Amino acid sequence: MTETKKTPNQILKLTFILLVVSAVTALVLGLTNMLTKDKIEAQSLAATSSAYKTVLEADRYDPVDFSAEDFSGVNGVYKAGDAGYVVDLTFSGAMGNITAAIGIDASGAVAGIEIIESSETSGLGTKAAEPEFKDQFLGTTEHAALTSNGGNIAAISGATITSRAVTEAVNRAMDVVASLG
Amino acid sequence: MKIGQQFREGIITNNPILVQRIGMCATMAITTTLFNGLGMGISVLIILTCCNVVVSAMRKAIPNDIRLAIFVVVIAGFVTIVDLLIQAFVPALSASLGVFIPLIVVNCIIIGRAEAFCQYEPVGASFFDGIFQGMGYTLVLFTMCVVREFLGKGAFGGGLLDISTGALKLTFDGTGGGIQLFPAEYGASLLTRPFGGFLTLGCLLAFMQHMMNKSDEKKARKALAARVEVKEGAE
Repeated sequence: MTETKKTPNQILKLTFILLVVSAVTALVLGLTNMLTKDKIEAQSLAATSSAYKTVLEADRYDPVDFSAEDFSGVNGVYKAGDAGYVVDLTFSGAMGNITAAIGIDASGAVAGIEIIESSETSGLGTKAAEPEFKDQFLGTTEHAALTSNGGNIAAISGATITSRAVTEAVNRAMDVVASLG
Repeated sequence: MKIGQQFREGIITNNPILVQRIGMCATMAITTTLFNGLGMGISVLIILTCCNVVVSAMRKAIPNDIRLAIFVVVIAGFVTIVDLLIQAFVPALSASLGVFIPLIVVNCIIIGRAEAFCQYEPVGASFFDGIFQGMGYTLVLFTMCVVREFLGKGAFGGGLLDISTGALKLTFDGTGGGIQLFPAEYGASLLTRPFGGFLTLGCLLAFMQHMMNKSDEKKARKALAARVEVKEGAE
């Protein structure tokens, strides 16, 4: 293709055509967005609340204020009706960040743990999401610790770093809720 | 161009992945479960067909100098529409394919077909080109998913089939566990990693090349035989 010099008129014409095509596309996109916006919002709300529901059953989850400087990694604290609080937090695991929802009931005891996202080693660190490990935390009101640190949480063999990270996350969740008073 | 020939081109002789070798990145990344593979394949099929039709319909109005810019605007528009629709109606697919749906904008298959085919051909032919090229793409994704899922996890139909209730059932929300053909522990789990995508695609390409070479040889031999016959006849 040989490049020829264009007169200002030709350039204007090209610009105009591109403008028209972009404008029509933008219009169609705007319409699609209008039609799907509510539906998408409802879907994302349903997805997060279904994760929260597994850790602490409630009708609604209202975000509450907490001191973000003191608790790094906490994405949000939600009041689950009268049942207690759900803490959504991201912390560093063995292979990358782990995002989890942790439910703390009204008496301050751990009610449930759900790993929402993680990139831990398949078959080792991913076992943190299985009941055998995470059910050990249920009901504790005191800070948890691994058996190697004098506590009563048995670490996953081959995934000590992940086990410690989850334990610390649970403790952090309890601290956040305690700080709310 | 005849529809039958277009069909054969899309599926085999000019298959977007195995022969044209374009759009391979997403192919390796998302073919971990049948649910992902079919979801991606059908999304590309729809987007490709829409873009082909629109580009072909506008082909006489598009100035040559800015054709690529216009193709990209049209493609980005359709991809965003499909992305929004998937988020609204199949959120599980949007969660598991993640960024690979918006990335269809830069998938070479779509801009490649616009550039190589639709800017010269009428709307009807472009429509069928989109359908058949999309089917060829989906077929490769399907094959890769089946191979990787079976050898990697001993399963079939992950996310799409559910037998946990006893009866075989189709699930469209990605919750189905698939059919376990042998225990997952005995699978070569490296095939389920991105690395396994390279391996599987490499083997598929090699197999395809082998079959094409064989068919070429057969054709060449036939042509030779025909020529010899003609010569003998002449003598």
